[in-house]
Parts: sequence; C-alpha cells; structure tokens
Amino acid sequence: MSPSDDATLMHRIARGDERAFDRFYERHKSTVYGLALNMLGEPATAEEATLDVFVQIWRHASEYNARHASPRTWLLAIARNKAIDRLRRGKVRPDLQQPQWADDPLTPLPAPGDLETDVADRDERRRVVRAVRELPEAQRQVLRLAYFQGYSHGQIAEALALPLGTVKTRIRAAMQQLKAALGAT
Amino acid sequence: MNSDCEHITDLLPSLALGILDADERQRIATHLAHCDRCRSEVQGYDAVVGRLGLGSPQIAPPAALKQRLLRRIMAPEAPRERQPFAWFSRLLVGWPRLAPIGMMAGLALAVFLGISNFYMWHQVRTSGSGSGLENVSLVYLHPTGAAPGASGTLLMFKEGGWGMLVVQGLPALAPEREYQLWLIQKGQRTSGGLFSVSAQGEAQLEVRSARPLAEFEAFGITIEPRGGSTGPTGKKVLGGHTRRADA
Ligand SMILES: [Zn+2]
Repeated sequence: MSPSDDATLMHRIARGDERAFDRFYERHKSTVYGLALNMLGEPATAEEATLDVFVQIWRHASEYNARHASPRTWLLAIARNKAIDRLRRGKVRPDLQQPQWADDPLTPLPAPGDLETDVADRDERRRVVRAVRELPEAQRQVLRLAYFQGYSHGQIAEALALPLGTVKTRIRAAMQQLKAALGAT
Repeated sequence: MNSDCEHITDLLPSLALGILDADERQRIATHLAHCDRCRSEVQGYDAVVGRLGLGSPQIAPPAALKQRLLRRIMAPEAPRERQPFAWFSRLLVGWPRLAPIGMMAGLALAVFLGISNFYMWHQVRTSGSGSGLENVSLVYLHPTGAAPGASGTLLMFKEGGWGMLVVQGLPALAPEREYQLWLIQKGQRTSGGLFSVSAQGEAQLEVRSARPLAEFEAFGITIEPRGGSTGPTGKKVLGGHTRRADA
C-alpha cells in the first residue's frame, strides 16, 4: 500500500488530515464533477452536488467500509446519490440532454499519479464502458433511467410505455450481466 | 438463507440502485437483517452501481470550486479534533459506579472515545460550567433478537438536551437503510437521529433534543429506510430505559 493510495488517504482524511483530503479531491474531482454534470445537466447545480460529495467525504470518511468497496466506488455511489437528491428535489431539468455513458470516458486524464495507477485506472474505465456497451439496448435504456435519473420501476414503465414486469426483468438482467462482467469490488 | 430469498433476490439489483419504493425496501430490510447471503449479494450490486459512474465522462470542475469546498469544510459546525486521552483517565475513575464491570469490557474503547469527544464538545459549548461526572448519566441499550451481538450506551448530561450514543456490534446495513434512534416519552417516539455503522459495527452519534434527554423514559434503535421515518417502521435492534434499575 503506497502512502498516497486511496484507502490510505481515506484513513488519513478520517483523522482530519487536510493534505490527504486535498490530494483525494484533486485526484477525483473530475470523475465526480463529470458524473454530476452528466446527471444534472447544468454546471451550477453540478458544482453544488460536487461540494456535497466532498463535504460528506470529509465529515464521514471514518464510515468508509474497506470490506465492501474501493474508496472510489464509495465516492461514486455518494456522488450519484447526491445528484439524484437534487434531481428529486425537482429543481433540475432532466430533459435538456440524455445522460449517457461515455464512448470514451478518458478525457481529461486523472491527476498526476504514478504511471501504473493511471494505466490501471484507464483499464478499469474501459472495462466499465465496454460492459455497458455490451448490454442489449433495451436493457441499457432501462438502466440509464434507473442509474442516472433514479427513476423507480413505475416511473420507468411510464416513461418507456413498458409493462412493470418487463422493467423489473430488464433491470435485473442488466445488473446481473454487469456484475458478471465487472466482477467483485 | 431461507424460503423468501428467491423472491427477494429479484429486487436486490434495484435496491442497490436505490429505486425501490418504501414498501419494497421495508420488506427487503426485514429479510436482510437475518440473511447473510442476500446481504452479500446486495454488496456485489452496490459495487456495480458504484463503478458504473466510471463510465461517465470526466470533466474538470472550475478551479474556484476548491476554495468553496475548503471554506465549507472549515465551517464551525464541524469541529473534528479528537483528543480523547486528556479525558480518558478522568472518566475511567468515575466508571465503576456507573457501569457493571462486564459491560465495560465490551464497550470500553468505543465508549471512551465517544465520551471524550462528547465531553469536549460540551466543555466548548458551556464554557465555564465545569461539569463533572456527577452530572452525567448513562443508559445502556440492550440487544433484541434482530441484533444479538449488539450493545449500546447513551451518555447524557442530566440537564441538557445533549447526548452521545455509542454502539457496537450492529450489522452494517445496505446503503438504502440507516439506523434511527428514538427518544421515548409516554409512548411517544421522537427521532434522536440517524446513523450507520463502521465495518466493525461501531458508530457514535451526537444526540440533540429540545428537552433534556434524561427526562425521556426510554430509548430505542430501529432499522429504517435511508433518510429516516417519522415513527419506527423497521426492526428494533437495541433498547433501554432511563431508570437505574434497568441498567
Ligand atoms: Zn436471503
């Protein structure tokens, strides 16, 4: 474990280490802001959501559970939750553009780290993009509304004029396939 | 594992996506509380949901955002210093009168940290009051069948609407759920706050209430949907009474 890997940073952040927090922010800000902007569509709201996310990290780093997920996975789960909170509060348009998984998620590169980390990072992003791309379009469409918009089964059924059972089946099938493709953690 | 697994399994991906309605969540929460297999399955889906965000394009935020962030985390409502040891020995001396020895062993470290934190906060906020241990009372929370290994302590100042809850041995919950503390008086339950536990099953929660905590008759903790409920809806995991006889 290097002194600057995410798990170590998280540990230091939990103890109130501001330099570790700075480092963590620099490393992940574009990932978090990119996701928030994709989901929320407007920069001002995406900035607020990004602040929510990192404030939560600062205050609750000690709740991070290394057994369940990498710090980045946890961070992204928080980011999505914060963005969905804002969507559900209803102040944001969901229809200016459809949030979407990227064809190439790699612009801009992660903050300067060691080469090995960057390569691993790119590989992981590519695996996610590929796994999503390999889903049947019908499943991806349903998953997009669930993931980016936080729609319930009923809302998805209504938006796509599908039977409720079909929505549930597609979500389950998509998630099973992704789980198999992405493996654990 | 048991017979409802099959039915529940279908909903686990949507639970991880956070898109179930309250009824469905409640049904699953009840099941997950006692089914390791389904819990670990949810964790697998949680990881998928987390990683899906990596497929979104990366976009650098404006540089000024960092200044705003730093200002926000330095805001006074979130003091982070922890200097437990200054208070450690002092509290230790007071303990045997308050706690049965067996209880102490299990909870000792977590409670010390919790108490010390709490103590500091209290000192900061009531400057010059010089509160000593005689003003402190502890309520032990005992586990129910839903969380047999759990234990909890609520520390409060006799006059204040202020307390610190320390729990141990509670199962980690799926992200859609949180623990909720209830302050109970004449059958009426008021929320005392929400929390989740660490990998080790531990948590501390600062408790604030409009009326002195020592005036409540009892305290309970239940599993609720994330964001909390207006009254308990889920399984109770810990509970205890204010009266010394029950401690
Ligand atoms: Zn099960």
